Amino acid sequence: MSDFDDILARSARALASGIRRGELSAVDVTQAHLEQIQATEPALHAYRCVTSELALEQAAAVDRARAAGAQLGPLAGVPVALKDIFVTEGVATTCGSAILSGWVPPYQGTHAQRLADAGAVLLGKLAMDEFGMGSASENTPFEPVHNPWAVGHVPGGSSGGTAAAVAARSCALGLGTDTGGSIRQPASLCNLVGLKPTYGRVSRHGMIAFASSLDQAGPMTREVGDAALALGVLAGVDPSDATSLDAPVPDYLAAVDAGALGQLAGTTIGVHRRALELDGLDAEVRARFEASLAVLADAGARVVDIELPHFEHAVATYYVLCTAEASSNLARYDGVRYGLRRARPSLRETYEATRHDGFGVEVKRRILLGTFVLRAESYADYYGRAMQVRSLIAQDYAAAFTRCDMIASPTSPVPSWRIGAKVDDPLALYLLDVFTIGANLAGLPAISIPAGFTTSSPRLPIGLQLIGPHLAEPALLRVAAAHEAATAWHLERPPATGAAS
Amino acid sequence: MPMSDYEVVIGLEVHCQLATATKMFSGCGYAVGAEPNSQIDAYTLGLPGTLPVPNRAAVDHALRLALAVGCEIPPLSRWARKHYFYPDLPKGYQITQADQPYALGGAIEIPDHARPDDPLATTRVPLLRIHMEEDAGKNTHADEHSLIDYNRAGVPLVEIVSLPALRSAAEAADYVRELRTIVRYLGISAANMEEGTLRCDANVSLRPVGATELGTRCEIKNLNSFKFIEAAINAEIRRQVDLLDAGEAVIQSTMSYDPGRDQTKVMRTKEAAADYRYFPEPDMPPLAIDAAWITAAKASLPALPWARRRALVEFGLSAYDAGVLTADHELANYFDIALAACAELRGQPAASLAKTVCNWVTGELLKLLKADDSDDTDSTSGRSLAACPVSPAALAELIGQIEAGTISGRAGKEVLAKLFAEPGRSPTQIIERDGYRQVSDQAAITAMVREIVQAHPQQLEQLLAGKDKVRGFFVGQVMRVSNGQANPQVVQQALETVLEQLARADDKPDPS
Amino acid sequence: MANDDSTLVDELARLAHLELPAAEAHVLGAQLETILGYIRRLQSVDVTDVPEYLTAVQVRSGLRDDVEASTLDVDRALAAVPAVHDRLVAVPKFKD
Repeated sequence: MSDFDDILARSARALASGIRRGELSAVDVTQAHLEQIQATEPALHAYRCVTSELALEQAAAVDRARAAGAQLGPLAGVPVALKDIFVTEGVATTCGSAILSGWVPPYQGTHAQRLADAGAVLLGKLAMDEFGMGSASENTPFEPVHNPWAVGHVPGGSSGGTAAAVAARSCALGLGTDTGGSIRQPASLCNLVGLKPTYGRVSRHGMIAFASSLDQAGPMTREVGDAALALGVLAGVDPSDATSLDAPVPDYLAAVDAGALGQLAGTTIGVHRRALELDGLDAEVRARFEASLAVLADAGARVVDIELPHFEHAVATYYVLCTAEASSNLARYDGVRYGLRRARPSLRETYEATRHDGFGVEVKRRILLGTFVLRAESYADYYGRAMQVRSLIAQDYAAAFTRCDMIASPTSPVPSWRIGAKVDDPLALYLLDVFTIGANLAGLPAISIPAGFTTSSPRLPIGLQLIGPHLAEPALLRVAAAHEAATAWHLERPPATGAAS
Repeated sequence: MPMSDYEVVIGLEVHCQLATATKMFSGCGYAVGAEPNSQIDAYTLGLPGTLPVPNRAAVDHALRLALAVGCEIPPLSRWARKHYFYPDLPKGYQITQADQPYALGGAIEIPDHARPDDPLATTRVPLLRIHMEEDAGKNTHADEHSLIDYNRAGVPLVEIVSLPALRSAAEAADYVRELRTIVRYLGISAANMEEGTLRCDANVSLRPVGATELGTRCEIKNLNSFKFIEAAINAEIRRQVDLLDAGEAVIQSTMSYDPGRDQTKVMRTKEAAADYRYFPEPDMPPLAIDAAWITAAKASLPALPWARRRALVEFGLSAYDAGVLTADHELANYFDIALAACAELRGQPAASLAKTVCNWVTGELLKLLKADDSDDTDSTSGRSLAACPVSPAALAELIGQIEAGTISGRAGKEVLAKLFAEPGRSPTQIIERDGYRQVSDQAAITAMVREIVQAHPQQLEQLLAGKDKVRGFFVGQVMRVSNGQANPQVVQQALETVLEQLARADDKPDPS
Repeated sequence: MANDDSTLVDELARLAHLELPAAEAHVLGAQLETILGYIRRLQSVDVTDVPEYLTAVQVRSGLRDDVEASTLDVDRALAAVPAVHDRLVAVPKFKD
């Protein structure tokens, strides 16, 4: 059991090197995580399904390969779990929705494939807000997910299952998706590293679409190095995604190792001070943000003020565009070819009943809103105008990056809240995305890293966000690693993992 | 008012399926007539997580068509989503091109109906645009269920949209014929209306002669033969004339054509039309077609039907013959090769042989192929020509033998038939083997003629009395006696010689 | 106003093929109005001569070669279809 404790305490990077060196067996590592799943799941509900048999087979294959002297992949033997938005051949994929109940994908998505090719072991699929629509992982017909730092609190969303599982050590690293902050916000609420890459850096093939021009997959990990390790495996052009970027994949781990030296001289961090005057920015969040800026400044970074003139229009722009695309992307769920079908006498009634029963209320709300903004009579005033404002927002960032290397802000304006506390006011929840959606609208890479805890009880994690120019993931990882080296937040263990730190 | 007081205005939307190995947006193979739902992949079924990736060959096909008809190609075009719920539409939207298509303008040249006396006179029907899109699946309807086959879903289409510039149903049919010929010349589509690889919708409106504003239009959907294009448009014109004459308004509607009753009927009116909620496709970047691609595509364009028709007429062929030869790209190519080979064999200018070769190609050859290349059927002589057992070189060899007098034209027809029955043999082999070589030996034929003349004194008397028709009797007799192998020209000459000799003999005093 | 909202929400539900019982339509209609009220702030932004946003970073048509590359297990995919008759996907009868 103490061996297993040692395993669970290790980062993904340390597990991979331990397995590669023969210090650890992949089967033991997988077994340790499967036991941790059993221990934590009753309280957390992070997993939608656990693929124990598959995981143990994959782990045994890694051990055999190592014994045979074969070259091991960068994630060989590392137990990973995927948000249930990722298509996994032969493993049920629901996207958090009743409308995909019973669907077992007959094809493999790029993410699952690349992870498997890198030797990763798939532990299972993780809970989420239905189709990625939400900030608390409550918008789902399944059990809501709890935050390992405070059971009864939300883990954030929509990648809340991933955040809870990674924080609870019930997987070594997890994959999330981020349309308006769905990787970074739960990472922030669960004391994790969450990286949303540049739009197109990681394929979207095999990632169920919410809003195609905003969606991006990325790693959620306990340490910055693990995010770099995973991104190295996931990044790169994919012939199955015409929007994937055909740009070389740099050595992200080298950037992390450079950052860990703690030297940020020559790096300029921009801060949009006006955004910090926002109503609803929690005082402790603001305090931790200022403390993090001080950490970066101590490491030699220069902190400058920048302006983002259209910042306050980002939420409105985002909710026009993401709902428009969602209403379109979700048109395929009609009960004809897969998933739920509510049989009715007529075709029209079959469609309507299937979609009524299959979609939850938040999904319906967004489908209706998206349908509204795309109607011929509202298109120019809503969708068209939002696409113009999106250009202005992207221009704002481009202008800011002439003055700084990256922009720092809190990730979420508030720490976690009690499950059920914010379900009745959709607009209030939408406004919580204020710091994260800019990166999605402008297609920029962004990372959330642990920045401390509230002083209240329960102690709730708080995150720091860094947004960089296109393809500046190495710079973000370098600064994140420097911050991590100068703090110890990432080493704390949540109470719900059964062991104290 | 009488029909002649209305001007008919027709615009056509023609869908043409592109002949690629895989579908428009996924590497899924496609073959017509395959087992239901066997030509599908994850994208075709609209499975969650799948993404469209455009097919370079489909874009290239579409680009060549656009360049062939003189479209302007913007450097960037965009894909768009068009939403409607239909079981044969797997994603709930069709990927098409909306406000930024890849091709703008251009024109299709059709025969000028105002100058029927001049078959080479043409008018240009201007196009609004051409865009690419993906096809939907196919529905069939059983007793209790409707059944969907997704094989066709995702197959690449181009939609060619004309301006409302056509003035009659006959012009409309000609437009589709010309378009079909062009895409077949380009080799980008089977363009077969029966099989649905060429489909036509027609927008029809009327206005008083002299009016400049367009009347309210109705769109007739799914016209799947040339006959129906003409009949449906004429039926719709009659319907609209009746409405207008009765003082009623034409309501913008989608129509279907009932061939049994020869009537169009309203499927739905504009009020009930869907809001398609078009928006730019976020799953694909804009499509960039650069100058280098355009240059390469232009260089690959073949000579097009009207250019070839005019060239053939300059060669001395009738406009009719030129039309028949160029209606089919394969046939036109076959003719060109046969003519060149024949000219080389004979050492003669091609122009001097064009009519002869044309007659053989459009007459005997097509007859033997049983190819019906009349405009109103879809069967292409091109397909038959591909399987033609007689190569253009073999046909040239055969014509050369006739021109050289080695065999008669009649024998030539028999030899050609034998070449069809025995693929692989050369005309010369068959001529030698089956004894078709005709006798041109002047002395032998003269002797034959003399014998026959002497055997028929009565007919000779008639001929000498000026009954010229009897000449044919003698030639026929010689051909009969020679088993058809006597060269008819030589027979004619020999007959002259014999008659002259007889005449001279009569003038002289009897030596006896 | 409430009447107009329910008309709008019903119209949107019709377009989106969503069954929407009156009680749900009422709640959603009100929420939609609140959200749209917030979104209408965009009307105040000066967008004169601003182009619509184009996908980030690079324009690459993302074309592929015309080569078959399907790996779908078709029979398994058909097995997941809610109703199949002789390989054809079945739905309640409708008129084309």
